[in-house]
Amino acid sequence: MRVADQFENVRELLLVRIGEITLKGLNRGRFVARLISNMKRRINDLGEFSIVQSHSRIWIHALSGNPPMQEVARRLSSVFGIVSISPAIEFESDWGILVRVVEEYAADVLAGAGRRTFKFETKRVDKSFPLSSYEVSSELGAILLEKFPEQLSVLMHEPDLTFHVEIREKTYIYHETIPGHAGLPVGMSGRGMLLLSGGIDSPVAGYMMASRGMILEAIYFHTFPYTSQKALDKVEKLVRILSRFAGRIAFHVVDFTDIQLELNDKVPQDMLTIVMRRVMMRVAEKLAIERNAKALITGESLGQVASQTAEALMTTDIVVDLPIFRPLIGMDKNDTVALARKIGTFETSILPYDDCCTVFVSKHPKTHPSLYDAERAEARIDVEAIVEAACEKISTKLIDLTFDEGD
Amino acid sequence: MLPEVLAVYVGLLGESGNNPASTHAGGLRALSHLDDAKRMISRCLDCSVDEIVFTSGGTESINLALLGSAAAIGRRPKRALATTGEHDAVIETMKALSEKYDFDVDFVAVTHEGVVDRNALRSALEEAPCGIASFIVVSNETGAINDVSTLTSLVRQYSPEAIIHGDIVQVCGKMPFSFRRSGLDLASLSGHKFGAPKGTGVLLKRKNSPLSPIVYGGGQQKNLRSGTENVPGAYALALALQSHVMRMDEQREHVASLRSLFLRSIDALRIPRVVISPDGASPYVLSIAFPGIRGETLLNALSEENIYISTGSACGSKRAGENHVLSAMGHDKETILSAVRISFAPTQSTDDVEHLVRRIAELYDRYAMHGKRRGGARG
Repeated sequence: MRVADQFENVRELLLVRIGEITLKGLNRGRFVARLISNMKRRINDLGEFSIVQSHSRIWIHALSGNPPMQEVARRLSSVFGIVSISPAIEFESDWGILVRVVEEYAADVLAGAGRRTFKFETKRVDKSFPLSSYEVSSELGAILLEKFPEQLSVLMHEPDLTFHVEIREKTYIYHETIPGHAGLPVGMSGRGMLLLSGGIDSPVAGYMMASRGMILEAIYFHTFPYTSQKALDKVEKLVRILSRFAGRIAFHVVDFTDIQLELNDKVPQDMLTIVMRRVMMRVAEKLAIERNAKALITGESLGQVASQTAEALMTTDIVVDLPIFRPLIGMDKNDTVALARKIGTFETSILPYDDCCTVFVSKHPKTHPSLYDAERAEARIDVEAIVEAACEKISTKLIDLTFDEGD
Repeated sequence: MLPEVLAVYVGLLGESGNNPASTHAGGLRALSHLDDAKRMISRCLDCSVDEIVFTSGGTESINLALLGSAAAIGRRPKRALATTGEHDAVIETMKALSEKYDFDVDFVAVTHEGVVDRNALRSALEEAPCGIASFIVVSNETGAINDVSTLTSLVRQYSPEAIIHGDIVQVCGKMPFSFRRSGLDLASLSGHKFGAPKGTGVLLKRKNSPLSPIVYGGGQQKNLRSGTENVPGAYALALALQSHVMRMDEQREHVASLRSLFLRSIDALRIPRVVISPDGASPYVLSIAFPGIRGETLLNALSEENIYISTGSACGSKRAGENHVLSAMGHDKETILSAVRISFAPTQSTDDVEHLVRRIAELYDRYAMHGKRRGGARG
């Protein structure tokens, strides 16, 4: 039984801390409103909530039903704009009630746990409360020590448990702080078209741009039967994981097989990857403009593979006018992998289904192509017709938030 | 699953209280089904009813055989031999013997034909005696057949006390097999490979071969495999095996004719190919490469029309171009990448085979990255 259920007039709530947004000056209202609407969309199937900003925090109460607040907190922790979340309980500011609630709260936290060090930290905003914050902390500490002599001992510096008590108009207790992913609310920074390959890097790049407030759309070039249905399913799963952070994502799949075959026939082998990427960029840009996106996003990192040298990037960059955001360009692979693990895309990214880059890879690609090389390599193909044909073969699917798949 | 087996299996699943350890009527009926199953299996595989342990499948049988023998190794040398042509279940269990049970493990080479290289085996045995040896009798990758009694004799010349295990998963119901005359101490088989339900298997264990259990509990099956017996599964396994053994010659002939029809048709359509399976291999599986097109590409395209083949690099868990059996036979990465494994079954018809070959020709013309059919559409 939850602590709040054992008392009348004790309610569960979430205290949500917002970081960067509070610095936004005159635009702050718009950022907060967007954040709250993003939060609502993330949890509206769990119940009805009141979500209110005050005292530079966001306060979330359940209005009806009895939603699992831990689950609400878990879901909200992946909403960009949130720095951290504390599940808390709220009750009338009264010393007698406070003592009884604290005893139950501690019993709940300590159930099944071993020995723990602890302390209280009290913040008294309502100065009419009869005890000072120091007195509240030391009294409550003494009460818990007496009640749980086997389990608890006091430690002031970095204890296992810190019970926070805040006495305002109402009184609040919490002990847990769940870190969020910070950043800016998705929707504040326009729309970006993410080129997804199924590897480790591109989902991380999408995550990073969404964390700066971009709405994501994703494009994948499918070359069945060279690549399998499983490879496509894997990319879709990556989009699904990203949607936990970025919200709904329009996922565009280009049936690229015929184009790939034509390129393979007509383009010199050592330039195949470069030309393929130039074609992909053009297709992505055409789609991006149609979809009102303001930038392309890739997971490219300088020097990682032959097609990501400065020269190779230049030859692909130059075929499009939209800016290309490459948030990983200067990152070390290990850091990218660490981020992929943190956001939960790594395990899916490393599933061993080939993508078109590995099937059609030449044994000795040109690592330092010149613009002249690239243009000459395209001499035998009708680029415009190819891009046009690719855009005819795009199917789009909206991928919505999901929370059921393993974290 | 064979329809006649499915009917009996489902009927048994519905019977209440079928725990063969119980003394009530239901329990006794279950016990008698279990005994019947053992009798059928003993006739099919020429073993004694006392030599049968029911398991959950080939992998469990192999684990019990190898880990259980290692735990009961006694004074025998802590050295185990297997071949590079083994199934992953044996390879990985052998690695566990080396890493967790302190065994020296050696993998003996196979020849280009995919069978155990006897000279390599002889020199491995001359190097030091072994306590455990394990051989795949018919390769799941290529169908290559090892002459198992020759191998067991060779091992016993050098290591008379060795415990010898055979992986007979691809043998049962497909070719004659006599456990008695094989010289094996242990043999593992899997039910679902011959039309029994998944999750059923058998380990054959010669009476005097030492074996410790790897699953502890109520002491069922002479304490070798605790846990209530899966009576419907065991009975279905026995029934399926018997049904295949009774029709073995005619089925084998049919399957062999399908396989040769396949190869003739491939050649008639001039699809470049490298047959990896050796002459005299089991007709039930054909390993073949079509240079110019990846096995993966064929598999993807065919699976869309519900034709299921496998690639040289089986299982999604592996990287393209990796296949320990084909590499051990000396094939290069390009051949392995373009290799597929085609299973022929008694239920298939000549029409099925001809259709498959036509589709392979069409897919080759459309998707081969290099190499052309002589006289083919793109030629």
